[in-house]
Amino acid sequence: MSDNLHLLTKHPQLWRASYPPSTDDVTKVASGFALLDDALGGGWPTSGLVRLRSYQGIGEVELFLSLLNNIRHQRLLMFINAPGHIQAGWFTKHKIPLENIYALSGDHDDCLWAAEQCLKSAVCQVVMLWSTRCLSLTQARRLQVSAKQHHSTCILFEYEHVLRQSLPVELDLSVARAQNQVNLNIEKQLGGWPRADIPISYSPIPTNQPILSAFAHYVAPNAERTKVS
Amino acid sequence: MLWLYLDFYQLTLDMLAPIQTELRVQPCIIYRADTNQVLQCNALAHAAGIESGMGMAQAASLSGELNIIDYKEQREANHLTVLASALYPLIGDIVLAPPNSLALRLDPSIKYYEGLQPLWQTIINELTRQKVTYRFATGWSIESAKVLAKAKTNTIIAKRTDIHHALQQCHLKHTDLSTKQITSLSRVGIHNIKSLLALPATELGKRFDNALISYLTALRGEVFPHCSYFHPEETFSATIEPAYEISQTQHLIPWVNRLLNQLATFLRLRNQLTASLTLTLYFRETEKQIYQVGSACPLSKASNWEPLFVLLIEKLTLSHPVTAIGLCTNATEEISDQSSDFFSDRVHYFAKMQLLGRLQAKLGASNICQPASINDHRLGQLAHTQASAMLSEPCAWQPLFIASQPVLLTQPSHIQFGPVRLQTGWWDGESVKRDYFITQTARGEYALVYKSPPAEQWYIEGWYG
Repeated sequence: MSDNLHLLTKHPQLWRASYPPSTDDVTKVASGFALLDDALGGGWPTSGLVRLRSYQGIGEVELFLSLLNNIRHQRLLMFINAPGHIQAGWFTKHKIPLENIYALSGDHDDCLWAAEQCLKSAVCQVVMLWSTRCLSLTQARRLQVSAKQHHSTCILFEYEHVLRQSLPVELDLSVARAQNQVNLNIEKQLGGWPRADIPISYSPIPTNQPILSAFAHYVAPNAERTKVS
Repeated sequence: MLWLYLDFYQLTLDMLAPIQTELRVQPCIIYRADTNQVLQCNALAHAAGIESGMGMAQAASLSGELNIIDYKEQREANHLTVLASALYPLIGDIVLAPPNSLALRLDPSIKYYEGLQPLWQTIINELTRQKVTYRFATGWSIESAKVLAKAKTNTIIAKRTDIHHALQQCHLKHTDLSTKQITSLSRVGIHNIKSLLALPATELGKRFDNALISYLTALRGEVFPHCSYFHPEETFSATIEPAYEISQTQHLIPWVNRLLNQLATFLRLRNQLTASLTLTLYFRETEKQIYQVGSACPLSKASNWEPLFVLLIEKLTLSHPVTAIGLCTNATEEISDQSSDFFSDRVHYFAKMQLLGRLQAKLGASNICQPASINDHRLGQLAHTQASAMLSEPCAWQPLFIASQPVLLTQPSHIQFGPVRLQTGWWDGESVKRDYFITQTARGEYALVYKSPPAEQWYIEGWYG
C-alpha cells in the first residue's frame, strides 16, 4: 500500500503543497508586472484555461497584454462573444498585427463549441471567451483539456453578474479596480499557492495630465497678474 | 458522386485588376477579335450599358473612353492552373476545364471537413483570397454541374431529387450541344431539358449520333466519362502575360512580385527552398532574355526574394517592350531541421483555412469578423465597414469594445478624461457632433460616454477592456 502511495507521489503531474512552486514543466510568459510574475511562478501560463472575474471595463483584456504581444506569426487570436465590437485602433496602439485576429459571436452553446474547435485546431494561440452564464464542470474541463493538449491559452472572462462556481482551471483570478491600480487575487493556481491583493498599476485610458499641467502652468501667472491689477 | 463546377466568367479581368489600376477606374472590356465579341466587361463598362456578346462597334459607341484588352486563351488557362494549385491543398480531386472553369469532386472530401457546408465555406474563402468572381453549381456529374453553373444556379445542392428538379428548369442553350443539334432537337419537338431527359436513349439513338448519346448519359449521371485529374507540377515554372507591353523597368516589379508569391506558395506546400531562380523576359520583336538570380542561402518567402529581383530589375535597360514574364526554379532542396519554424507555419496555414470554414458554416459567415482600420473617426463606422486606408495615428482614447447600441448611463460616474470633440461625417448624411468623455464608476469601470441632444441623456458608447 505504502509502495503504491510512494509511486503515486512520483507522478510528474502531482503537486503537493509542501513542494516548491513548480516551474519546470510549463512555459510561462512574463506578465510585465514583477509582483504578479513572482506570485504566478514566472508569469502567465501558455496553455490551459484561465478564468478572470471582474467588472466590465476595468482593463481586463489589457492585463493579458504581454500574452497577446507574444502571439507567433500565423497563429490566431480569437475573441468569442466579446461584450462589443472590437476596435482595430486598440490593437494598432498596442502593436498587435490585425490580420490574425478574429471575433466570433453566437449563443452560449455555439460559443462554447467554437471555443473548443479553436483550441483543438492548434492554430489559435489565445482564445478569449466571454461567458454570460456559468460553465458546468464538464464544459470547463473540456476547455481545459483541449487547451492543455494543443498548447493554447483559453481566457474565460466572467463579469460579476455571472454566478461564481469553482471550476477545474489552470489559474483562477479575480480583479477589482481602484483608480489607477487593480487589486488582483489569485484564487487558485496549479502548482502554486493562492495569493490575495496583489497591487498592479496600469491604466487602460489616457489621462488629462497634459491638460491639467498646462492649466497649472498658465493659470498661476494669470492669477498673479489679476492680483497686481 | 457530387461535383462542383466553378465557372470563372471574367477570369482575365480578375487576374489583371489587382495590378492594373486603370481596370478599376475606367470602363474596360475583354475583346475577342476573331469572333468580334465582347467577352468580359468590368462594372464601369456594365454601367455604360455594355454587355458581353456585343460587337466592337456597339461597345465603342456606348462608351468613349473604353479600355480594350485582347482576349488570350492561354493567359486564362495559365491563371486557371494557378487557381487549381491554390485549391489543391484543400481538395484533391480537381479537373481542369480550360480556359476558365474548374470541376471539383466533393464527395471524397466531405468527411474530412465534417460536412458539405464547411467544405464549401473553405473553398469560398480561398476563392475570395484569390480575388476571382465565379458562378457555381453542384451536380451528380461534371456535365450536369456545368449545365447548372451556366444557368447561374449558384447554389449548393446535394440531394439527387433537387439536382434533377434544378436541371429540368434549365434551357437547352446551357448545355454543350451545338446550335445545329439544338435546332434538330426542336424539329422533333424537344425544346427544353425536361423533355430531353425524359426520352430513353434508344429512341434518340435512331436519329442522333453517338457523341450526343454519350453526352446525354453523362448528363443524366448514368455513365461517367473518363476525366484526368489535376496534379501540380513537380518543378515551378510560370509565365505571366500583362495586358500591355512594358517598356519601363519599374512596371515589371508588380508582375514579378505576383510570380514570386506563386513560387512561395508552391515551395511552402512542398516544404522546399531554392537558392536560384531564372527570370525570362519575352520581347515583342527580339529573342527572349534569360537572367539568373541567386541567393547565398536557400530562400522560399516572396518577401526575401523581392529585394534581389528589385536590384536586378533596376540595373536592366529594356531595348524593346516586354510582352511576357516567366519565372522558374533551377533546383530546390528540402528544408533541414534547423528551420522547423517554417514547417509549423505551413501546418497553421491550412489548419486556419479549415477552422475558419468550419466556424463560418456553423455560426454563419456574418458572425465572424476581423477588426479593420478605416479612414474615419466615427466609432460606430469602424464596426461594420470594410478595410481601407488607415488613419495615420491610432487614437489613444479609443476603447477596445464598442457597444452595438449605445447604452444609457445609469451609475454615478467621475470624468477621468476628455472632452474629445468629434464633428465629422457631414458628407454622407450620418453627421456626428459629440463631446466624448471617459468616466469611471465607483466600481472602477471605465466607459466612453457622450451626451445626446434630444433628451440630454448620457450614453455609453464603449468600454475599456
